[in-house]
Amino acid sequence: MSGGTRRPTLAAKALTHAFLILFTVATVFPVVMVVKKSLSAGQEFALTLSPVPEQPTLQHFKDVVGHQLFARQLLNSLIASVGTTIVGVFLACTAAYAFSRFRFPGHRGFLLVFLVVQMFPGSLLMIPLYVLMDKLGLLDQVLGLVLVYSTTAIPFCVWMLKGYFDTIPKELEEAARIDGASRFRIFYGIVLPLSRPAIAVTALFSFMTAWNEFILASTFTSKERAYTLPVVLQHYVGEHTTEWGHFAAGAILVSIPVMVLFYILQKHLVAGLTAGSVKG
Amino acid sequence: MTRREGPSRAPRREPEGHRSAPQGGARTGPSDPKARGALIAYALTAGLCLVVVLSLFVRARNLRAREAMMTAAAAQVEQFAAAVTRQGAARPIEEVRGSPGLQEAYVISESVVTSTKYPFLKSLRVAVHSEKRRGGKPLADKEVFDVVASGGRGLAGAPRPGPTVRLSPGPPPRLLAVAPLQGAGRTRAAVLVFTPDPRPAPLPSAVWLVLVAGAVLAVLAGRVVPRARHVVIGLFGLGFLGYGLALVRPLVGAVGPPLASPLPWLVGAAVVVGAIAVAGMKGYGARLAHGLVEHRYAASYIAPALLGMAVLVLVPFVVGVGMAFFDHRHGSYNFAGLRNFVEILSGGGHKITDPLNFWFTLAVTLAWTFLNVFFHTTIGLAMALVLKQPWLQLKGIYRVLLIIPWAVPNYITALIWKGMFHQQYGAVNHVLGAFGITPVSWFSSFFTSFTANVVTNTWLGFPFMMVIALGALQSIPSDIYEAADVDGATRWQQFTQLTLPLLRPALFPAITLGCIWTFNQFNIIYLVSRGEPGGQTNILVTEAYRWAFERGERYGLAAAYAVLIFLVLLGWSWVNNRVARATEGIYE
Repeated sequence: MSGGTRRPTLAAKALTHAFLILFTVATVFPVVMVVKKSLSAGQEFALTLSPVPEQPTLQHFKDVVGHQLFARQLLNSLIASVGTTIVGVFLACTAAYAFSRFRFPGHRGFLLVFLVVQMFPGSLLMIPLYVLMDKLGLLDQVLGLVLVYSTTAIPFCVWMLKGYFDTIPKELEEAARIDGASRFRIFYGIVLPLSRPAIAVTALFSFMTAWNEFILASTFTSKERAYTLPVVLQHYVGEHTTEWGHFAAGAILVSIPVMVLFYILQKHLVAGLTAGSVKG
Repeated sequence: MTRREGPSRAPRREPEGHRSAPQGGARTGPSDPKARGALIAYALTAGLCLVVVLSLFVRARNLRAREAMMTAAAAQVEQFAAAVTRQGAARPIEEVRGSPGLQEAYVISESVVTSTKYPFLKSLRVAVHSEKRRGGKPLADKEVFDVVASGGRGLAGAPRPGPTVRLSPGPPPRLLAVAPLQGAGRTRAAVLVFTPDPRPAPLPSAVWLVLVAGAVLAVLAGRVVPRARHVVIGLFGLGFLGYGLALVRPLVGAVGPPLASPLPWLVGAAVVVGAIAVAGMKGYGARLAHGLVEHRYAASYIAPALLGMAVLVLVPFVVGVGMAFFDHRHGSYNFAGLRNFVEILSGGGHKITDPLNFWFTLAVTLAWTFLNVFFHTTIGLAMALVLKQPWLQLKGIYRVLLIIPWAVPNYITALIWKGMFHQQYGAVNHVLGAFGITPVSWFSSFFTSFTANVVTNTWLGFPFMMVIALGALQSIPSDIYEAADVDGATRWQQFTQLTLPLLRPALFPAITLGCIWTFNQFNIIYLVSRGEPGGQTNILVTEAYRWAFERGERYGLAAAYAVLIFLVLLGWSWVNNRVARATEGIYE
């Protein structure tokens, strides 16, 4: 089971592979069905289990992209995600650096606050945020979504970046200090350039999180012009309509970029997650 | 979770000594046992006196409140009666209809009928004008009958001036207000039936005082017995919380006006927070001010993020917690004290088997969390062990494919599975059909619906655990297995006594995280089963959401739900943290 020292028999190997293949097929199956649906004509969910599309067509993709509000909704998604990322990373950089390098009263306490905040159930903030946004007239506005997403993005970025800053050797900074560099000079002249990859990774994660967010967007927007793409997708298969073809095509368009990102960044995510903690 | 291996099964290495139980910096309290006993006695006596005084105070206040309510009802019924005298029955009834708490308005327009056969038998035959019925109908309400008979004008007695108000305990409790009408020799009366406010304000200041006293006593006790400080503080705190609640509980059923102003609560909260701050952080403020100057670099670096957090997180958080103490209906907020919490924790009048009952939802949530984390961990661990075999080819491909569920955005996952569980077209029923199983209507019974949710979330979540376990397995040196082989350990023994304990440090945080994620897993429930059938598969977060956005915008109640969820999670991770801290260092 766990040792690596015994040589397995051929039968054991074959069995293991058979099991793995079966399990993998079962795992990938739902995704394959979506790909199939996106390429098959008709809006009904497939009736056969074969992965080959029936009456192959690209019509669903054309429909989804050709929708008159698609560009607008794509823009909404992009603005919300990019805006969140900028707010999160910009505010978090300095704070993460301070948490990583300085020891000051409240150090532990503030770090804990940033951690606990990520434990809030979304609904705890969602309801007051909804009321506040309503009062401020920010419902149905992308700016509102940026602010709402930032509530999770900031603590997340702080924890991720702090983890990375911790790995940068202090000796570099000490050397610079001896050479007479100011604190701030050290920060933007040495630390930031060194951690460029880390900042990129953190930024991409914030982007992905905002890009994939669904329930807040669907609660805070009610006009079709203000929807983000996840909300649009959900409406394809909502209570009254079941346009599975459109949903499948849209799902592929929306998730391909983030899935690619995910595979590139996955290793860093595990490291960041186990260092701090992130809201699901 | 799965069976957890105790520290006793640790591999060869000796645990880092049996560390004595962590001692939170033993305070220098009075060590003389006599002084200690005296202090405890003082504290208890003081507490007892406080409780007695408070009880009396509470009782007096409630009586006053009740008096006020009855006076108000009397005034109203008198006004009503005057209007009836002026304008007849119909219009005033129309007008009075909307008043708060009013159940019914009668005008009794017929008189005492004396039996012709037996003159000593008298019965009150009345006609009722109410909003529902016009015209004559014998009065069937015994209690109203009694009030009219003894009040207004007695059956044969002299007329009594002024209105009569009577509180009927029910159930359901009612407040009956009767005023005589100036009729020509007939017994006529105007009757208003109110619903008394069932739950008076639970005496905020009193409760807060009890709690403060509890806190003070707990601190005192802690000083006296430094060793068991945490336990004592906890027990005292609990005890006094219980005292406070016990004090309030019988009064909750009594009658009183709604609390109009949150001011006493705010003052009480400020006092408690202040007391805790003073007790817990003596000199902290000064240190902080000093520290700000000393660490101005650090402060300037953190300030932007803290400011952002204050605006974006702290404000909504405070507003959210504050909202939990208000009742929001039809666009207006009314201060409700702890009523939202009482409503939730008491089940809100729903049976324990009713999905609207908090405890039912909590049970579903716990089952949901446990099952999911269990499946995530076991499947993830199993797959990691299989993929770890050194002779296995194509590892990379399997790994990439098996992570797909994690990479797909989870709302898409949920919608896909929702489609796959479709009774008619869904792939799941199709596969089952191949085994000769008749199509299942997944969302029409609790167990199938719950299963659908769990299957979806298991699919979604096992790759995370698998990746964590793979990473951790890589860091286990293979020579310890060789040593185990030499010692003749079976594979199962190797697994339970080497692999599992060595995986623990990596798996424990992942499981903690997984529990929190699953507990708050909104999307799956909301999109897959939508709580069907009849809301039974809702978990706490979706329930809170529905109260806020789908059941009449009860923001206050939803906020109270959210606060409770937060407290549950906070408590849970605190315990978890302690456990982790107590066991860490053993396997390092």
